[in-house]
Amino acid sequence: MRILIVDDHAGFRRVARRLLEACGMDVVGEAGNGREALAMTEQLCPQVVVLDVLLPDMDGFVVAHELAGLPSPPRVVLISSLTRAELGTRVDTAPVAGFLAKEDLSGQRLADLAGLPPWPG
Amino acid sequence: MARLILAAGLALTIFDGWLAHRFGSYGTLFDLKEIAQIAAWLAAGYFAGRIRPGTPMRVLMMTLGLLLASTAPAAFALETGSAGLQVVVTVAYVLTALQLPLGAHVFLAYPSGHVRDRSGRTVMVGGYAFGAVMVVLQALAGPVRPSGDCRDVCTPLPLVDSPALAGLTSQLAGLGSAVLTLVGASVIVRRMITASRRQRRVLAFPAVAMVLTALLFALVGVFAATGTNDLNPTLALAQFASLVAVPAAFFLGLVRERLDEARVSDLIRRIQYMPAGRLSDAVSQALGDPSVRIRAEVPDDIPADHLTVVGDRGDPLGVIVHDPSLRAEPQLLEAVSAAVGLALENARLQAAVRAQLAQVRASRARLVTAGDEARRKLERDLHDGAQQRMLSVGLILSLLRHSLTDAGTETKELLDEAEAELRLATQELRELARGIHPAVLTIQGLKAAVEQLVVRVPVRARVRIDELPELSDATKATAYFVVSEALANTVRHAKASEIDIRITYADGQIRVRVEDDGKGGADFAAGSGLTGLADRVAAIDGVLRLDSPLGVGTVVEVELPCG
Repeated sequence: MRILIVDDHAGFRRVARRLLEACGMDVVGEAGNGREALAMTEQLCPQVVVLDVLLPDMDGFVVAHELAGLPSPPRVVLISSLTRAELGTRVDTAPVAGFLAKEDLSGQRLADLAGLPPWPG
Repeated sequence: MARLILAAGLALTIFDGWLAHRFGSYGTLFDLKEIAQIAAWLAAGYFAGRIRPGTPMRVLMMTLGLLLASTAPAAFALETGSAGLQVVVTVAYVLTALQLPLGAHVFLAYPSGHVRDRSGRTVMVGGYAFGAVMVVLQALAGPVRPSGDCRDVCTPLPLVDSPALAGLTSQLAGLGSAVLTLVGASVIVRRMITASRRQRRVLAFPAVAMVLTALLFALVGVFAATGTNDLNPTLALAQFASLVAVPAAFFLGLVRERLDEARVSDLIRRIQYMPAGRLSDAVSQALGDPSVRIRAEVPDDIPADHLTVVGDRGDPLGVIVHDPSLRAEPQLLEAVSAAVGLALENARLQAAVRAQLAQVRASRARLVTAGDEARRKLERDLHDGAQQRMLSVGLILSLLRHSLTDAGTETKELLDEAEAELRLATQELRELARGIHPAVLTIQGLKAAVEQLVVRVPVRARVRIDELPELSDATKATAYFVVSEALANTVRHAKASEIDIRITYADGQIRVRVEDDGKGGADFAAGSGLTGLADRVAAIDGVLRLDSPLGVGTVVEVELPCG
């Protein structure tokens, strides 16, 4: 499963990559902001984009909408250090596969939300 | 003094009336006019003192009345052989020499009661000197006595039985009267010309009456001097009519002057707190000069005699532009200028205070905005720094658990404990960040933020929030913290069972109302955080009300501008 991680915190990206790779997932790239995320998606064609809601240049929901408009859109899973309640109804209406609080991130939950075959190991 | 003159005047008038009725030979109409003239001066003088207490005009006018009463017996053409009455008539006749000087004095002294100008004084002194000479001459020579019966003045005099001297006396009296009245009239006309518009209003009536009277007297004098006595009865009637009108005109003029003065003192009383826009009109009205304008700067294109600078010449508060005739009343200009100075100084101070207040309000609002910004930044720093690192640590612990597949029970228990502690720490940090500045307020707005506040409150709460327009960050944050503080107070102190939160919008303002059914008794002094909140509300031009009767509950209500 090809994954792109989008988060402006390099430390978190590094740990998330190790966590997902430990689960046998293929992290094809890391983006630090919205524009990088869009460019790298078009370039690397990931199946899943793990997308932080709070990005320095663009709103994560806006990035999700733009990703959904691509010719072969990836599945998007929103992550955030804020709770779902704090983000409100925009999560429900965004064109995404689901939402994960950052502390709940794991390969299994990601695979469940993205609707991909479960992690083999 | 005035009452004494009045009493003497009235007594003499009654005596005159009796004489005229009993012995007069000119007819009732003539006698009545003579009496009316005397009464008019006495009354006008007396009432002039009532409307302007302390004015010397009162004594002057009443003395003229008294003199006319004393001289009246000489005018009635009494037909009597009584020696006693002849003495009275003779004294009256002699005193007629004083009528003109005293009349001139009254005219020249009007309206202040003092003759202050040099030409006026000269005429007055000249008049009295002439009067004194004439008293002596008339006492010595007496009138030309017609042969036969005693038609005019029957007198035991003259002391000097000289028809030549009597003729000379008569001619001198006529000529002197004419000269004195013409000179006096010209002084009065000149005074009218140089007077201010306002003074002219006061001088107008009596001046016209005075000039007409003066001309009549002059005419009488000329006729007397030329010996054309046949015209006398008609002229005398006109003279008396004008003499009745003159005291009335004097009185009206004094009333008018009193009203003008009242207008000026009224202006001085009201002017201090008068808005600058109405100043020109008020001063114009008080000075009776429609051309009055108040300017902030000294204009270059207006002659100096139209200008009165208000305040210090080096740093004038303003300038009054007016009719140059007002220069004739320097004291009035000074008083009005001082009053206008007060008003302008007041306006200047008010403007300065308003400007300072606006600055203070703006800086207070900036402080609130800056405070909000600092809180938002702090929240963001916590979010980006410590919170992200703790989340990363959580993920690392998760990785560690997967990599330690063959770890013992104790290691796994320690891992569980570490994860649980970390979760708690993350939760506490999140709460702390939310207290500093709730991210939900920025992301979702006031409605969602208030709804989430209520979720964490252990009291049943009802929330009703209208559709709200776009709110400024300061308003949004203030409204949020009002609800947050009110809820915290209710939970901590009120022992309430129910809370009602209502946020409505109307006329560009939002109203936030938090009501509970607790024990009440909240106040600003109790360190409840309400004082800080009130300051914050005031800083963005809002209003906070607290109603917390004991045993009934508490209502905190604020109104805030949306912008």
